[in-house]
Amino acid sequence: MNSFIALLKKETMEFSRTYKFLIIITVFLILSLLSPLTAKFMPEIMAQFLPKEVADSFPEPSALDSWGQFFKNFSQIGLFVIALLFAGTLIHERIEGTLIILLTKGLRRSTVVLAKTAFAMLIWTIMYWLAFSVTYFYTWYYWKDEHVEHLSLAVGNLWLFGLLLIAVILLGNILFKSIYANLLWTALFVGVWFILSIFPKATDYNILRLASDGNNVLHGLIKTNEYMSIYSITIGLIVFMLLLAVLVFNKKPLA
Amino acid sequence: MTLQEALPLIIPLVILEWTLAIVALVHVLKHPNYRFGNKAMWVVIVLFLQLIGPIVYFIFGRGREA
Repeated sequence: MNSFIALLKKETMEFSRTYKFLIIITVFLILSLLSPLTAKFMPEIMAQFLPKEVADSFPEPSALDSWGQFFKNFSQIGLFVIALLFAGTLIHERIEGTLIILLTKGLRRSTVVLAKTAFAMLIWTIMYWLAFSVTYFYTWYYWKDEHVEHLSLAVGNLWLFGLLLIAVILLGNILFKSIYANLLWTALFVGVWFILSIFPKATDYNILRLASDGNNVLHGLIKTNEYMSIYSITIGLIVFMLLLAVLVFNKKPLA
Repeated sequence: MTLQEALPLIIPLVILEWTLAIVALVHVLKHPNYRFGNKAMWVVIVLFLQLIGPIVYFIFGRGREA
């Protein structure tokens, strides 16, 4: 346990010294500010290019539009930034051999993998909910009397998808020795579910819906109970990826 | 929406973008070794490609600290 906490501290220090902390906080805050801003401005920008009759037919921007932008931003750019920041978290240390001393001194390999995963998930969780609160504040500020239902289900889903993506990236860190290979592996993982979403029969089990359903959930088209099998698959996959990561890392030669 | 209405969003947005750009600019000027490219190229990228420029620099362009 002591070594776990020490590793978490080391990760935190490394994360801020490599400017990754600065990047994630600015990008996430900017995305969260852009969501209400684009929702507010979009009709006016469109009106510049379209004939007046068409522009007048646009509905007034609403709180739902602001959250729609939030889900679009975070399911695409937000998750991409997470993948970019953590794609090399263990690969770097394996290439540079900085773990050899610690491991020969008796640090367990499973502790390394779990500390890295816990740190990445913690960063995603804190930053995501911070961004959520900023968008929440501004959406309240601009659309004071509009109440958005089903918001907690939609944000919770995307958060869970982020955790899964981190498990995938961490496994990739152990399977591959190049950041680009890891990013490709992560893209392939998502791509497979994309292909699966073509088949209507697989919709009940497609975990990609956690990230892509945001808008439908907000409009009340989907209820919590429809996600039960997806939740079990996602949590099962997270546990499976982490176990596999630990097992494979135990067998890997260092350096 | 008027500009005045949008100010509570635009002010923090501009501050965030410029903080990142300036931190990156200081780093580019102080650490003249990059994984690729040269100082002039990175100054331009960091200052003129808002948001994307500094991120690309810190993740791909930043050389070893010496």
